[in-house]
Amino acid sequence: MCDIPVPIANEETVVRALRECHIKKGKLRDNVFRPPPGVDELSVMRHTYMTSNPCKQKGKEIAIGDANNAYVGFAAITAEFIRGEHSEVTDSREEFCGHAHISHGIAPPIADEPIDPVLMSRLQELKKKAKLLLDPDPNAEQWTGEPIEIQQQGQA
Amino acid sequence: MRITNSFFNAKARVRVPVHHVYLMPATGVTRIGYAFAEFEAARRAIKQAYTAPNWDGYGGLPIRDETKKNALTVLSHLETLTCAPEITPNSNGTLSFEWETNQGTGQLEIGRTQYSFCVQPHHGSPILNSGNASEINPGVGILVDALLYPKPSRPVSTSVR
Repeated sequence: MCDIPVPIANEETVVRALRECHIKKGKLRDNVFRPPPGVDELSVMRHTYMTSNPCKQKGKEIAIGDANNAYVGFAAITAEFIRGEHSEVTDSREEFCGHAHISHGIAPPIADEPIDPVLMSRLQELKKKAKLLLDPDPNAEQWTGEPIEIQQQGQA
Repeated sequence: MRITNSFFNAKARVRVPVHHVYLMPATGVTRIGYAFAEFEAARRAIKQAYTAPNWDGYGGLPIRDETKKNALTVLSHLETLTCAPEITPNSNGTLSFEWETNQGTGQLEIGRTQYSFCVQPHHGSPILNSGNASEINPGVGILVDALLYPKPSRPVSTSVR
């Protein structure tokens, strides 16, 4: 039973679990919101409902078994910022409760050929708007880093 | 703003200024020496880019020889036009050239037959382009250099009598 609302409100914070391949010199790389080849779907988690510790557990679970590309933290962004760049974020609870997909509405990458430059520009803008949260202690069970939730303007 | 290759052709006719050789104060290495080392590093990164499937743990496709060859050719063209990019492999088997300065970002993604380009200055609209990977216009390098590595204006001197 998943009792969180299906529609994703603009003020919700969603997070992308980061692995080493998403970071370069302590900064987010352009590939952080890049969909996988052939699919216009990128997995994120609804942090506002899932909260930090369950998000971290899922992030580690996804990266398990790949020592060369370990979990390192999160990129957090609001649904409003995603929609502001003309992409969309929708609930996909069939994966697990709290899972969502970002769709860009532009042809996704195909094998051996570059992405559309419009998508390239969009991914750069989304990266700029995302908040990088490197996990200070990836081995710990609990999230011990700074608060993940993005406060909207006018909120405390 | 998506621009056509005729725009690049017009831009490419602009005379490219010759970079002056000067000594870097910290190490005594010339600027050209630094540039050579950076381009050499980029060349190595292209040659060594992943050839095994699933190199990123996300099912990443290997970087094919044709893509590497295209990237090496483009890199040699860029060498006379702008600073060396960082080379990043992508999960769909392409290579990205990335520039980032306090003026903005630039990205050139090269595949087996096509390329895509985007330069995004912090002030101003992004400039987009795409085309055949074997015919990447030098205008790409000129734009990166002009928008991301602006040169300080030279002092104007006048003789006062």
